Amino acid sequence: MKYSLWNLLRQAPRGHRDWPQAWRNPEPKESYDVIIIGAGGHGLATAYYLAKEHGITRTAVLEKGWLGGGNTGRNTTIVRSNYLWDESAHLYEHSLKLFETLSQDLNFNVMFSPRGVINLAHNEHDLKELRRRGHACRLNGIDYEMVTPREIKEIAPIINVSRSIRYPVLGGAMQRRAGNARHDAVAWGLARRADEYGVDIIQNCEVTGIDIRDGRVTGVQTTRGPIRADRIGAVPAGHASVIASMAGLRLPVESHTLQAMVTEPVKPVLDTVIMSNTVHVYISQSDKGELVLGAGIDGYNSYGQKGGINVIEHQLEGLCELYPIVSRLKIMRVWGGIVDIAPDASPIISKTPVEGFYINCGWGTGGFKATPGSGWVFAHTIAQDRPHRLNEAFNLGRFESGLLIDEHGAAAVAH
Amino acid sequence: MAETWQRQSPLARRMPLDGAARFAMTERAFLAKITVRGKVTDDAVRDALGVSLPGEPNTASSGEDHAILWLGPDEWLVVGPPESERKLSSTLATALPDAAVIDVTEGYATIRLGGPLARDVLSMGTPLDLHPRQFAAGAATRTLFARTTIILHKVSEDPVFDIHVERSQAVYLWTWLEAASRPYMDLNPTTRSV
Amino acid sequence: MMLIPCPWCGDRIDAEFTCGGEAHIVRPDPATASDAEWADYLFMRENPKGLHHERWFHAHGCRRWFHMTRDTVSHRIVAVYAITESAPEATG
Repeated sequence: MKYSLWNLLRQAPRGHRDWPQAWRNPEPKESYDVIIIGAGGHGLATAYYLAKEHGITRTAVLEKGWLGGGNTGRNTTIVRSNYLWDESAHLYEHSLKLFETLSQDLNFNVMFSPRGVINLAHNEHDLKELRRRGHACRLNGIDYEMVTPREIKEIAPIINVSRSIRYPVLGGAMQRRAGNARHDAVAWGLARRADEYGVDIIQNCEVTGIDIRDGRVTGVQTTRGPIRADRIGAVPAGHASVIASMAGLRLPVESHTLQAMVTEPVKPVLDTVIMSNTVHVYISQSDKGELVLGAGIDGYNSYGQKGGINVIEHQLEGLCELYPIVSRLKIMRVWGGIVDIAPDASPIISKTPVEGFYINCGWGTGGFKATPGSGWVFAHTIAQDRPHRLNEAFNLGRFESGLLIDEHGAAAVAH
Repeated sequence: MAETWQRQSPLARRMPLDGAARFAMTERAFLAKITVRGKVTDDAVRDALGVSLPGEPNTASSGEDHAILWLGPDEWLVVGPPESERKLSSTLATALPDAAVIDVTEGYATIRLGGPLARDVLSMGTPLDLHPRQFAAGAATRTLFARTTIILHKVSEDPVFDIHVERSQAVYLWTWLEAASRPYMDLNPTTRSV
Repeated sequence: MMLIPCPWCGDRIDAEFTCGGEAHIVRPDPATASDAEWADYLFMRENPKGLHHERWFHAHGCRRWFHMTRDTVSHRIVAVYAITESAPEATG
């Protein structure tokens, strides 16, 4: 049923009891055309665009936990495309453009809010780096302009632009079209539309093995029995290496815990997103009023969704100096997610040496912004058995050829 | 006219905290500090300084004029009286031909803490167990303290602690300790934790 | 947060250490290694969910490297051994 004012009015007299389920909870079938491993945002987007753009609807999305319960439900929801290299800029910009119309496209309000994202500069190097990236972005048609400390203070009055703090704000760069979106809504909207196309979203179904015959995938083993398919797309985020090892592959990624937290809710004080690489602090305010804060990754491999308190302390120290107003706020929740970090801080959206097995991973600390774009190019890669122009460069072979896409600067602080 | 070189401690402008009954903090300026790294024998050190090499990790040995702090399995910090670094380093270099003897006197500042609340103040900056049972007089270690690296040496059970810290961090650490001690300065000294 | 048993200094908090990543990676001869072998050496990692042999450095303590076997889910530390030693067999 379409979500519309008309249907809202029609349901009202019935006490909203007759709304249909947003997606089914189907039993796995014996076989599918395509199996997607992981019902996070990227996996659901892949299934959705496979159906919408390529007409492939006999698809199963297998999820070991619940839909959107991994990094999709744990990130800090920032959407931007201000990346340095052409390859990244094109990919993330494509995703940002999809975000701009995603609510209409999905008939589901993903609450995309282009409230702007500011990157702060705390030293000369930061300023030069932002200028360079700004020029690169504008050559790619992406808005990214320098802003002065005074302008930043006007946009975000809670920031401390005093020259006397340890890392004073010397300036910044702003992408006005960037912003954030509601992470759960993105997953739910994609799931609902994929389900409408006939895609089976199967939760509590963990993949335990990948069947390969003569170098080709033939299906998967799961906790709910074997399922056959000759095309498998793995989008398992932090568990990329675990899934890849089932197909006999090693990946150039390492899994780390990344933490985020929210304060108690307060009246609106910040209507943009501000991030600082140097002091490793970023902040935005959710619609509920909570200040959403992100910390860095723990410095060692981890699959445990909890991190070190010293990382939180480090983030909060910087936060209190940059935004003294928050020093009295209580932290309500702290949580962790497992992110898979690639050596060049760029994703891998690629075919693999195993035929019919495709991998989409390495999004590291910043995959949310790419949710629709990632699914869009990955669906193309699976449907056509070759990458789209936009993800050609993000192949697994780049680690052998040396054509890395070094985005450590633009990947910025974790988010 | 050539400028006269004037030696100045990074903490020269800091006022000592003198709450002797509770917490005291002073600078020990210009102590000679020499790192020794490599092949070192106990005999050679004892002949040269009259102090044994600390045998165990996390310990120091002290003589009348010198203290030797264990920093690693082949690394020690030798601390001597002010203005003695030239003589001390040449003595050590002669006595220990198979070790690197480096004068780091100007690289480190030293802060001395004392008083019954010194342990409480220190505990604000480190999770190390500083209880006398675990960290007795003669204990010494390099450790992370208030986000900077220090070499902590418990000189006596009174207690007296010496903190050696890299020169550029000295003012930061001093002001940090000042702030950390503030709540304790108003406490009755008999209420300290045991 | 972990309490890491440094072989020299004893138990210290993990913030005093730097993790050097996966241990026992053998460097191939650059003169004869193929691009694939070199990429495998440089970038590919086991990244296991479970026991992991890794290198650690006591950066704010004795400044020595050592090996450690740790469970990447529970952070249980199974073995600590010298940087010159190979992985203990019992820990896989």
